[in-house]
Amino acid sequence: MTIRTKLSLSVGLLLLVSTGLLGAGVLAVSDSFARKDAQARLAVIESSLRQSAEEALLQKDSLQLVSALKSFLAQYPVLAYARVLWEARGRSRAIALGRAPERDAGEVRVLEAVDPADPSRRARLELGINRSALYQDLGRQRRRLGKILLGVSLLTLLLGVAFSLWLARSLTAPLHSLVALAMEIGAGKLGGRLAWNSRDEIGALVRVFNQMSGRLEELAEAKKTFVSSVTHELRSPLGAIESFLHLIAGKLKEGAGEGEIAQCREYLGRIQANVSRLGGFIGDLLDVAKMEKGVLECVLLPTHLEEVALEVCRFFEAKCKLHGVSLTQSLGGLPPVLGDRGRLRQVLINLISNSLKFTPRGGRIQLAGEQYREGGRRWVEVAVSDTGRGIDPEDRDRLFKVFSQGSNAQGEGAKGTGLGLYIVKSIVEQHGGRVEARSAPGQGTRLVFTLRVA
Amino acid sequence: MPKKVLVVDDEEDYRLIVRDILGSAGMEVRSARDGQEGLSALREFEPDLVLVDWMMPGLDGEGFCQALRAEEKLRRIPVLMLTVKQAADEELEALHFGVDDFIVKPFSPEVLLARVRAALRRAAG
Repeated sequence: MTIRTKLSLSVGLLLLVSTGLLGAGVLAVSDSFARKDAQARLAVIESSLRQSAEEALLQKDSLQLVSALKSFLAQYPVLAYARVLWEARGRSRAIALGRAPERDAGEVRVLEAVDPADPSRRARLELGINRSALYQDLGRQRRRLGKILLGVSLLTLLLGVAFSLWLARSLTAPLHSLVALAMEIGAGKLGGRLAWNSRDEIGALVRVFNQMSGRLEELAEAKKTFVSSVTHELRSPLGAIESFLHLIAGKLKEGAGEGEIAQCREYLGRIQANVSRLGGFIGDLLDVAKMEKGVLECVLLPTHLEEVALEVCRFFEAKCKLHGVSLTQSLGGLPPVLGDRGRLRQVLINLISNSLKFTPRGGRIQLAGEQYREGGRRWVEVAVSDTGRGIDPEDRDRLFKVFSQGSNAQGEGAKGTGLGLYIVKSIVEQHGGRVEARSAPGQGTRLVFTLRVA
Repeated sequence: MPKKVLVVDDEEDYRLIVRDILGSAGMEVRSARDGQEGLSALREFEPDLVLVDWMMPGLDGEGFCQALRAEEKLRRIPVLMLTVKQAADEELEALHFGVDDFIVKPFSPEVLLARVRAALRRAAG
């Protein structure tokens, strides 16, 4: 059963029952008013009859009462018949007027009147009441009211069903579009949005659905970027290696002279560099895969940051000399932190090689740290600062995302895989700390991360 | 007079490889590290042919081609695009923005030389 059918059926049923009950109530009230009315009219008749009886007693004229009764009987169909018991000086006389019905189910009213001058003179009146005449107005009023009520009920029912159809439509219209959009997404067409902006539950559902649709699109886009980045990062060095091998083979075939041998040596060096670039990239990819799966393990032990920093500085010594950049560290005074030595080494290596890419000849890279307190804990903040080109503010958030680089990451040597800083962020977060870039374009970059004191 | 070829690629390895292959074949090779540098080299060097990498930071191969085709003096220079991409519809897209031919990385010296010579012949004829 559709929502529309359900809604209109239940609204219709509800209206029927409520108008039925209401009608019954109205009829009952109107009945009770009509009954009271009839009784009041009867009371008026009775009181004038009693008055006539008293007057007849005063006049000592029973015929006067009889003629008054006759005219009452003729005037009011409510009175079916009357019997009079006239008592005077010990004698009594009965007079009957009109005919009592054979099987009298009617009501009998008894009135007594006494001569105020002589209490032995009295009259007793028995009045037979014709019930159907008494309540004949009642039936008529009932029928009239019934018609009005029926009309009103039909109108309400009609309006109610029309309203429920409209309501059902307004409820199901966004649901229908949601279904259509969901089917579209199911068929692989991503990025659809619904323009439905109501403040109710359906509006909330549409908003959630739109968010979900957007997220799906982002994921699909991320997958595309991932595949194309990985393809590029793998094919580019592989292609270079292949081309260098072709060139070397060609030179050796021609019978290599002194110059060719030197060139071959250079090419071999380049092949070596490309192989280590590939190896590094594959290692990073494996780390990222572990991070995405949440299985990157960090064994947190008290670690002296200075020892790690010294090791890393030695690792970069040759490279820094080649680039004409100075690298210094001043992490000596810091307390030991809780960390995985191997992973912290990776963090420093990634941060420094990132800085190295963007720092021109003659520049400086510095590692510094300081202690601070936050949330009842002691922390260490380590900063890697360089004198490079800095980062645009709009790139700061993107920096730590997988496969993304700042928009000014261009030019010789600045290219990267877009994995390094993502790995840094994941490792630091695994340690319970956070990473942040503090930089302005042209003013150098400070990449900062925090670790807990052991 | 030796033919002049400009190679625009952000990777030093490929600049070196192209320079070696075409240089050994007697051509004069000049290289640029990105699209912007490539555009200024174009005016000064006036090459007979340009080899340009598709994916470069900053001004990429597509932007470089569009800039080149927009200039009256330069638009007749044949452009060969170096790419690691292989999808057919992407090649089609590139033909729309004015690329004469494709060379997929990695390439052998023979293929590069043959493609470059063919493009130069087409341009001369």
